[in-house]
Amino acid sequence: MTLRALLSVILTCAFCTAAEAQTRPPAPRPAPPRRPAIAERVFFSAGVLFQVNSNDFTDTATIRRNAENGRLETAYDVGSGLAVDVSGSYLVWKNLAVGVGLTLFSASTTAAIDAQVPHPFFFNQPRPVTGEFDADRSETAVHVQARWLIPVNNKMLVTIFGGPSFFSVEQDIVSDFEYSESYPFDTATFTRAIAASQSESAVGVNIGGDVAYFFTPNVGVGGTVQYSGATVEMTQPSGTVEMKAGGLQVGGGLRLRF
Amino acid sequence: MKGVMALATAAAALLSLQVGSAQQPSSLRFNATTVNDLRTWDQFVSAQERAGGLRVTQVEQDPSLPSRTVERMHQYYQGIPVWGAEVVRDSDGGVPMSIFGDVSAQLDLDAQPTLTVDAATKIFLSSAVSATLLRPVNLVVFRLQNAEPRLAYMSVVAGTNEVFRAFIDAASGVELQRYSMLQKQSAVGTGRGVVGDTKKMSVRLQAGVYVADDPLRPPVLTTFDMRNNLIRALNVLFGAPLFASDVASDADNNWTDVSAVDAHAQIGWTYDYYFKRHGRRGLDNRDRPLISLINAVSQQDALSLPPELLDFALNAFWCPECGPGGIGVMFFGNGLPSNSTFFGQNVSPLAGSLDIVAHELTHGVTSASSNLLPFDEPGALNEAFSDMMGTSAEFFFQVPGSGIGQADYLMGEDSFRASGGGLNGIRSLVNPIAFGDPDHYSLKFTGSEDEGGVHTNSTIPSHAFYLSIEGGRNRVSGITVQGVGAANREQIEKSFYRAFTFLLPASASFSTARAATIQAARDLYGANSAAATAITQAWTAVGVN
Repeated sequence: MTLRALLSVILTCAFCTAAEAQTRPPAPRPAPPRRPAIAERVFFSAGVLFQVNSNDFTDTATIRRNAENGRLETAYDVGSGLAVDVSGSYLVWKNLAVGVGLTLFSASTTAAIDAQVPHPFFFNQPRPVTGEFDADRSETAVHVQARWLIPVNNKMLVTIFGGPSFFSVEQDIVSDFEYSESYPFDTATFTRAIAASQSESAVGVNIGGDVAYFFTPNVGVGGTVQYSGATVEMTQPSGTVEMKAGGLQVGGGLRLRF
Repeated sequence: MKGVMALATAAAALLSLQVGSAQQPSSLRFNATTVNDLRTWDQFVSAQERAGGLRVTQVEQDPSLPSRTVERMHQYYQGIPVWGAEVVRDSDGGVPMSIFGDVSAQLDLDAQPTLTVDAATKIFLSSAVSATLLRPVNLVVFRLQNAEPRLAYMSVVAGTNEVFRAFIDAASGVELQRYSMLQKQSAVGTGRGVVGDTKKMSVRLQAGVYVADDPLRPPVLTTFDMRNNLIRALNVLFGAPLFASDVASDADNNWTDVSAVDAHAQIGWTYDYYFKRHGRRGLDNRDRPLISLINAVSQQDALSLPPELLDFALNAFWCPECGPGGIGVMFFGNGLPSNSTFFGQNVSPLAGSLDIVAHELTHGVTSASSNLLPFDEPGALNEAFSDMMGTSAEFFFQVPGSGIGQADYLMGEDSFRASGGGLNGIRSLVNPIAFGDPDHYSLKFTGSEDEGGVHTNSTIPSHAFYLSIEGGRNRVSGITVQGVGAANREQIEKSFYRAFTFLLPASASFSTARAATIQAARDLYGANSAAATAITQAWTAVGVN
């Protein structure tokens, strides 16, 4: 077959196809899958979150001993841990709900004390003193949230949310310490920390997402990833101690809707 | 509340048993040492412990009685500590041996404060000038003397010149009581010494003033101020009693009497040197009191002193039999006014030179050990050993150098300052001849003055000490000594210390001192040690064989 003959066949077939297409009625376009409407107006969740990040912080203070300034540095190891989380929201417009959440986190933290205690007889010859203290930490966070609900189907609901968070942090803060020493006072040994629980509040933010699967019309389970955090400043005689509260939290629990 | 009621009920019941002692309003005191009392009070204490009215705050073992355990318990009222209310129970294998307590028996007060912590904090911060809080503000039940207990806030406030614990009523904010914390703190003060440096002073707070009585070091270490009363000083030296009012004092613990500062601080340092370097506990190794007298004669009055009394202005000395009861006393003169000279030198208070202070204290060490006779060669060894330890104390605490307050081998250089291009100090261990003292045995002074030249001839052994450490060539013999080096000076210090305090007889000659110091080095570091070799070479270099 010559090249001309081949082109002729191809063009003929092409026109044939076009002619055939013009002669058939257009096929109906498949309808996009419709999102199920949100029939419920009230949503609850309760569960456990794992606070992923640590909120370690350090407090450095000047101590006056033996007619000379020394140093007290306390490093608080506020590690990750579990938090209890509950929230409720109400659908106010289309897919928008407003809600309130509460997260409770508590942990027993280790405070590492590293101090320099001035010598009673000589200037500039501080004695190092180190010790540890079990310091309790609790965080209460109230979240005000705007929640956007995205129903995937009748059983699955995706929610994204965000808003301000109001943190209250209670933390044992080491204010001083006691030590034992004896002549010639070249060393000193930590005996105990003097600490007191202090509370402070701060405003932060929360943002996150939740995927829920409802195995009955009203009851389901879900998983959440959220960030809720704030910076808290506690006032000490020696100055201000700045610490982070909250952080990245993942977890899951019960989901209800009505 | 239940625990409190139980406490009150138990207290009332026990009071009816007439166990215990004197009572105060709301106060329950008991001293249980008999079997019956112990049984009763142990039940009471245990019941209170279970109810939360008493909480164990401390458990200690008494080293002197290893089987004993002492528990200290604090009283709580609805979770709030009752200030000062404690019970102490001493047990042997769980069996109570004594119980002493002072608790509040009938507490009945509202445990909810009206005042907030923030409001209380503001009140505390306004209670002193430039106040800061050294303790967090805490709620306590505060027991007023002869009055009902009150719910109170407590904190420790540090002001410009004060540190005090304060209590304010948790309802009204009225201050209930404050008391100074300074007495409970280590009374470490500061003071400016003769050469203008600032030193720490270990002192005691007594009746509202700070006194130069060291509560931290093991021995009695007290500095007495003769307040320019030479007659009084002489009387004390001859045995007249010393009184608390004689102790050097300062109102604010920021000491300004340079003699008091340097004598008190540097006697302490010398004690420390002996303890840390040689493991010696003071003069007699048994913490004999360290008593010193200062300010017998003012600098101005020194100008009019008769020659026979000039030592009380221009000298320092140790008198082992002086003082009340022959306690032994160190004395430091105050020198002369800065516009006056003595043999071409300005003389500032002698306590300002650490080597002089250590020199005098070392005389006390010698008198309690080898007790070298104070004349001729043993007397020169006595003086030499004091110079050796004087310079050693300097090198222990000061930076080496030739400036004021720096460590060197000159004696008294911080107090005796040349007024015009001359030499500072009174003797040199490096170059004795610079002060006219012998640096070789062949030049030994053989006259009778100065008890046979005890001070001038001291430089023969003290120069050997120097050569043993630093090395060098003796000017007269030309012999070169390989010293152990400054980094190893401890070896020479210890060798001479051992020889002079343990091995030498009271009438030792220079030759005996040579043999004893070499033996000490061998004992400590071996026969062929660098220290033994250096000491041998050094004695040979100064002509002592």
